[in-house]
Amino acid sequence: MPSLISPAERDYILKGIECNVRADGRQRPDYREVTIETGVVSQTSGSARVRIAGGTDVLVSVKAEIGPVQVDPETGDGADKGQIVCNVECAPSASQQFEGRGADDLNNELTQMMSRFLSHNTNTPAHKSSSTEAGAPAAPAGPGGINLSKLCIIPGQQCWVLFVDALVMDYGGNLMDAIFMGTRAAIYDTRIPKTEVQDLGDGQFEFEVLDDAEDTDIVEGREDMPICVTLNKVSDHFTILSLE
Amino acid sequence: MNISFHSPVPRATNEKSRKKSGKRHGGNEVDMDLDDDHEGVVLKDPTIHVVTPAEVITTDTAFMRGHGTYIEEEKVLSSLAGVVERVNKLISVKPLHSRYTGEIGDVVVGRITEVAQKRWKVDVSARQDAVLMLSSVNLPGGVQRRKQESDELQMRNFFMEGDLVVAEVQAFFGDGAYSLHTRSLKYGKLRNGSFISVSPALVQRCKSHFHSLSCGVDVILGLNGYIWVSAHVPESLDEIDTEQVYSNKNKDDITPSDRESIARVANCIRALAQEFIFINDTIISFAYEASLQHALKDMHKKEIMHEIAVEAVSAVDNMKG
Amino acid sequence: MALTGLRIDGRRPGELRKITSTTSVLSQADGSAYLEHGNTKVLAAVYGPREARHRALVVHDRAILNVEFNVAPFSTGERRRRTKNDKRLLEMASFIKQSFEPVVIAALYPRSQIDIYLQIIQQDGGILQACINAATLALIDAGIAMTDYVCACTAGWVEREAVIDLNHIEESSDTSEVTIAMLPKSNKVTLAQMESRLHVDKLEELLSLASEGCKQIHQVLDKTIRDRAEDLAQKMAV
Repeated sequence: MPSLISPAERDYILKGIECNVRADGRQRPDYREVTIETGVVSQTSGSARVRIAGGTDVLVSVKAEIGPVQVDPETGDGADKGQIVCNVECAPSASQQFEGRGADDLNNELTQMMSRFLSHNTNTPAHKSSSTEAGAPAAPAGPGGINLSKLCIIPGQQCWVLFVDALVMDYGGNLMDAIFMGTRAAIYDTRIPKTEVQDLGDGQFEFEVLDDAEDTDIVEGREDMPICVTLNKVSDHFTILSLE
Repeated sequence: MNISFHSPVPRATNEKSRKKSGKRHGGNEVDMDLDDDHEGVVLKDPTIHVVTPAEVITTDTAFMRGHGTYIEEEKVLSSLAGVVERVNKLISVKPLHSRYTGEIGDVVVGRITEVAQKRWKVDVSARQDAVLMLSSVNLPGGVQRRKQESDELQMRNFFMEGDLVVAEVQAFFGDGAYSLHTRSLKYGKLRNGSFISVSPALVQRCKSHFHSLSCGVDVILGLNGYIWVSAHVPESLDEIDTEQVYSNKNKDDITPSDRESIARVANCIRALAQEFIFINDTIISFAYEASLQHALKDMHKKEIMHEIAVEAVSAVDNMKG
Repeated sequence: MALTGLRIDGRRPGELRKITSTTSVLSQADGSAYLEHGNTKVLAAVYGPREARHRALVVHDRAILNVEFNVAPFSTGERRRRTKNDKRLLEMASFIKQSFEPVVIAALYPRSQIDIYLQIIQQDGGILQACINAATLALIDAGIAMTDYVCACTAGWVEREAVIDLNHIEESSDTSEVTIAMLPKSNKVTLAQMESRLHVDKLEELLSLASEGCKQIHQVLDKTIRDRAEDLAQKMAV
């Protein structure tokens, strides 16, 4: 984030990190105060708001919708898996720099980063074999920890798609940590309706979404979701954790 | 089963109240003047008088309108949410939250945003960038030296984008932008410390805006809400050292404990700003005292910031008696 | 409309949904507000008056107003992502800009720029009214001079009855709906927006109902501003 800073300030901050007294009085490994609320947006399957003292404020929502499964044309992988679609948006309210198209690059970068961690299907052989053994113990999780196989409703046809949308409302540094914390909290908060699949024979399936708010599924593998801690080797204006 | 009948409400009173409310609803001028205290609330209430936009401050035509007000149908109305201030016949509204509006002679802290023709543009948290003319700074090699063309070419050697300066408001331009000057040894580039931004309304005009606290920390309280907290530098009015004014180099002997004091003072100011309390050297000192019972790294917790601010305020109250 | 004369969410025809609002919610902006109008939630941020971003836009005798309007993809029942160039969003932004231009005393801020950024977090009908009301709060919070509040309210015909402050269900059932933005002090209207057919005889009633709603909203907004101002003034007086 390019923000104006004078050479004297930069020097002061760097030297401060060197002798383990940062400009705001923290030592190198001290984290700022973090507040997390869940269940903040009612129209979602799960949501969380993360605030880091000093300004950063991120709202993450998870929406579960039903969609067709996506099969990788090369490997044939993915027929038995749900999907996670990530999207990060920085609102212009967060910083003067996000005005107009100013946030586009940052949005893309953060969105890619999240997708890589949460939704990329790994092509390990173990993964493929799991589809054949029904009820195999400890189905392999995606890189983000979430058990994508459990999100599948009818293999090869329908699955749950989890849309993870992060909205950056206020910017005070360390976005990535806040987004990851928010995502984990929002996924923890997420409840997915149960489905009932009927076998009609001839390989035809039909399913019904049970409309019971009390009896819902959690997102499996949520305990294994990553969180992120940013370590800055060289200090910057908004460094949270700095190691020299 | 018991059925009770209530006697009808006397019609007369009903009629009366309806008439009254109907009249008020009509809202013609005569009525309003009667309803409103003619004195205007300003004079009646000696303490704080808060108004919101489009609120009538006074209907008395003897008053003049100042900042934050406008006149409609001979009434003075507020255009802001803030506190009414009255100086003789001049009525103005001071907003609680706004950009900096300055006066000549104000000490401000600003950040250079642009180097232009014979001038620097400076962000001072006002509605436009302020201007620092090349002719309004002291150049190295003698205060009274004439400006040369070579000076124009090396303006970035004096101040470059991002640099923080402390300066004084010298004049206004026609469009309301401020012109600054640094023609004094106490003004110039800022070093050896860190920068905090608070609401401009919180910094009061005082005799001095340069303070050396007893904890060995210097504070510059810019009236524009920009504050510079730095390691103490002994005052030297050494004329020969004018080269130093534009140096980017921090002094070498800032010890970790100096840094801790600076950070502590900075956090105290943040705590006071969070609680929206006036900031001056006295209250900063009290806040510093109050903060000593907390670990430095805990000072960005909301409750602790609140605690420090409350303690500082009560200490100031005690002092006043 | 049920027999009881109550609407789908239990309100009377002239009753507003619950409005809650707070100001100064963001650290970076000069002024900000968060407003909940029933289940519609909006965040408004105001930057400025500040040095104009583009030299070409500078007007020498007043400030220019710039409005950006964004909708969070998760704000609707069905997830939907809109691009920044969505015509509908630009149109909304221009509505909001038009309703504030006569009220903000821009002549006080020559050569500068005022930005209003609106972010819808959750929608349940009446987005435009919520945005205008939130923007009013954020502008006042930023200490920008205005001759009056701008209060907006919707009114529409739902099952042959005129009602105010329509929620999403009422909006979607093919209703004629009008949104007006009004200056409560002078009763002037700065915006009237309607996109459906309505018999001209019925317009009058809708407008008067909506203007009643605006007055009620004005009281709610004024309370938020006044409470906050009094609170800060007290703290500062210490």
